[in-house]
Amino acid sequence: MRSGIIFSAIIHILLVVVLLFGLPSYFEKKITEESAVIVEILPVADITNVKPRRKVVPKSKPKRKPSSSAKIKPALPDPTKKPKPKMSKPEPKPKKAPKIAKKPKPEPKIVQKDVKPIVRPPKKEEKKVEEKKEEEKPEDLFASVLNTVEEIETSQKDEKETEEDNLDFSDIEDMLASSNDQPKYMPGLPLSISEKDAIINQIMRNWNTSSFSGAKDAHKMIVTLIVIFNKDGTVEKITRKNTTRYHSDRVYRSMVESAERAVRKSSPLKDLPPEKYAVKDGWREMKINFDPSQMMY
Amino acid sequence: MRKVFKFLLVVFFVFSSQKANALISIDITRGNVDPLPIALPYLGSENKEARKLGEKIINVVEKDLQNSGLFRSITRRAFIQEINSSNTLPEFASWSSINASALATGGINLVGEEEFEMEFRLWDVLAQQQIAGKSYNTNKNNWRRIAHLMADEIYKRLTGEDGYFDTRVVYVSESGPATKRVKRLAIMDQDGANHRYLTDGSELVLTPRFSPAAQKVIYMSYSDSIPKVYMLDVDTLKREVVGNFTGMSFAPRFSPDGKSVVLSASVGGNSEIYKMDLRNRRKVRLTKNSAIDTSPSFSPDASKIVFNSDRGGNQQLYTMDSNGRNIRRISFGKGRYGTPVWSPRGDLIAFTKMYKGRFYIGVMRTDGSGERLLTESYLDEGPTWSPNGRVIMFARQKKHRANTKGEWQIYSVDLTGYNEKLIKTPMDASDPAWSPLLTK
Repeated sequence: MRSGIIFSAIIHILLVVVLLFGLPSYFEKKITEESAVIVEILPVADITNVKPRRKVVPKSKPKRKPSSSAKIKPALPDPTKKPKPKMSKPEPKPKKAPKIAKKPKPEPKIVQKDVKPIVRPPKKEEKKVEEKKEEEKPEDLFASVLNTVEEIETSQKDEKETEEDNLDFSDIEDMLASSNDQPKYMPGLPLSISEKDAIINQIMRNWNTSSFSGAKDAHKMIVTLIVIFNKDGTVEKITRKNTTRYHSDRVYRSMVESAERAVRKSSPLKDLPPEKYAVKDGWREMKINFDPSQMMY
Repeated sequence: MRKVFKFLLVVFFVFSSQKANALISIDITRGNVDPLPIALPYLGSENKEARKLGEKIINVVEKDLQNSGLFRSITRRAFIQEINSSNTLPEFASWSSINASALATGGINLVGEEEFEMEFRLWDVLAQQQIAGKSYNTNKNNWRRIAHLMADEIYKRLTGEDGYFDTRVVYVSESGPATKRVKRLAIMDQDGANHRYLTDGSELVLTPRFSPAAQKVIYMSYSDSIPKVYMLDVDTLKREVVGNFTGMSFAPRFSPDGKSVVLSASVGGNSEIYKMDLRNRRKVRLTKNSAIDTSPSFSPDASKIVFNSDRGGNQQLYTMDSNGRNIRRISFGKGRYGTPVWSPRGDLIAFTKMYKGRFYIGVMRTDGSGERLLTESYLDEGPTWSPNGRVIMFARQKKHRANTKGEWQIYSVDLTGYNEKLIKTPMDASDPAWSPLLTK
């Protein structure tokens, strides 16, 4: 009886070991040379056939379908209007230093003083409610008209369409994104190259480098900002990295400020898929590196 | 059990912290090189005369900033909000909608009969906050200096470097036919205003140099074919003789503290470099070489001197310690290099280069690398740096054509090579020398 149990136990353990480690192989094993290869993992989406200005970013799809151009311009959002609370008393004028003017030959004295910033209550920013979504809605009708013909054509090739009914948001995106396809909705995918490029292009256009272009070590300075975006593409918060240098190096500060201006000017970011907002590696929070070394001498 | 739980907790935190680091990274490697758009509304005031003065001031500020090539002033007709004092909070949305990145608002008032006071605030429109502010109080006639000070403050806050607008330029004003040239020392603000003559033209004057520490100019003057070096105070016009130096072809250059000079003089056909203390007039010889060593210039920390020498076979640039040791050649290009001038910022050396019959103004790093030519023409020479080391002024002569004599004029160019501009002067001009900032 005992020996049976023991025997059974041993066999079971053996089975577990085999399952874990596999059977030993008696064939020659090739020794693979290991050499370090530096790779950058970039998720690649469909071929984006977009013109530089009006990028319509397609969702990443499992099957590749060459999409022909269907340029539907998303409407530009209105200039930001943030209502502010009424300003409290303005700061009193700086004190005058009594000075008697002298004859021009010896230079007249100039009295310079710093002017402190106006004290004001903290602003409360209104959250823009899905402005982007609203803008796209009027486009739907147009887009739908344009697309109906192609939809009929390609409906045979379509994959599961049932999911579209549940996700009205993605519907709008889909119609804008492609003419031929009914894309399959794949949530949770990280930001692809084309979408990153869309972000880069928007910020690049607005990055004004003239304020630090002649600086002594302009080609050696790199600025990194951590930026948090709202779902509508506007900037929620910008955090600077390397704050000690910001406070000690005036020229570095001017570069940091030019980077912040570039980000703020590009707000709201356009053409970014909302479903990739809050995912891991999504565009809600990103690290933006400004490196002018290619531009500076 | 407890241990296991603790272990799991640690594992959990390790993993969760890893997740937090997974931020997507975006690299921006290019931007645009457009000038920074800035809005400069006129200063507000209740007094009409003060308002007119304020307009003049802002116009000068606008011109300074635009001439630097780094800023673009937005036309006033585009302004949406009307701001009449510096105490009003701007409606930032309306300023950013006309594309302003920066905004300067201010107010001005007369004080008594002779004086005025003004203040301004500089705003970062996109960040929506004040980033600089200054108030000034002075005599009414001194309004130009206030304008330059305001422009300097804006420049400094937005670029991080000192400005150069509150400065003056001394140069040699030339007139008359080639056979009977009259050369006078003249001084003007860096924007060309307040022009006046410092000498009367009875003596030939050459190569003025501005002291980096005082409003004094050292220059060479020929009377009866004997060269004399003079030091002139540009405000009091008092003049003293620094010395008679035979064998000098250009005036000495100041040391950064203004207390000594470095010069080249040739004795028996051999040109050598000397350092001279201005107080006791004692000379120290720095180079000992049979070649022509000339045109020395101090580095801003006074530790080194750059000069040109033909000891290597043709005219090239060399640096040495200020005691004459450690001589090192830094230029190796084709052509001849001359008139080296060390930038007050310390990182670059400007020079004149002659190659295949053309002249160039160029800059290189202090070890000789990164040589860049900024200008080219029939004859460009004699660079001088602005006190912040960003802009170079130089003299250019046009080629003689038929009956016209070749005109001499002063130009300025940014160290990046952009923004070459003519500086207007009443007559021909050459040998510019840039003053330090007037307020130090």
